[in-house]
Amino acid sequence: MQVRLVQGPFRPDEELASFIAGLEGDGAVVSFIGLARPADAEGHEVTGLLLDSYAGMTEASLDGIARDALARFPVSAVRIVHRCGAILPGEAIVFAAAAAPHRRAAFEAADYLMDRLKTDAALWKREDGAGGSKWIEPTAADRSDRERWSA
Amino acid sequence: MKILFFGRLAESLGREVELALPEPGCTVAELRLRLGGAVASPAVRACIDRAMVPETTRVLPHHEVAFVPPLSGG
Repeated sequence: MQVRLVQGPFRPDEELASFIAGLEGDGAVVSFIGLARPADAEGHEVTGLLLDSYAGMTEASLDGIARDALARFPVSAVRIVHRCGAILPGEAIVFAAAAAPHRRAAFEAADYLMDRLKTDAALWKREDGAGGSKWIEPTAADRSDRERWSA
Repeated sequence: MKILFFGRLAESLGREVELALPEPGCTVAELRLRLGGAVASPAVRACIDRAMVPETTRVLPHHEVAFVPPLSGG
């Protein structure tokens, strides 16, 4: 389990390369990269994001999500790298990856990691734009995506 | 004791407030009533020592207490 909360920009390509380099005999890797969008849901320009975090609790929530993925799917490794602090449009916010002997488990675990991160990571996201700032909360779609894994 | 706030709550209330806790402690629900305002919203969750807790949990002076709005990572 490899989990990091980082303040400044990170390179998702380097994360993927080092994740793969650490594997032993897996046949499948699925990775997801979330990027800060330059526009909000209504199409207004976003000049930056702020991700507020709670030292100790945020890291523990990411650890818990990674641990749950390892327990739930036949995967041999997962990695989560999540930004906090100020983020510019186009920068990576999150990198989530899963590795497994075969592809299905890797796809499902990566999907699961992202659905959980959207609703269960102890982070609070604010979009800043020319028209002001807006705190973002999980949408109905985010919550129903999360519910898919409750059964 | 210190009460911490995060996200939009920190923007409106500041990162922390100092509050005198009654001698035998109080429940999360009672603390929420005393703070009022945005903290009274049911969408806001209480945390003790960095874990979310139910309303009936007893708050004691050595606890680290925080109120947090809905989480939004990813």
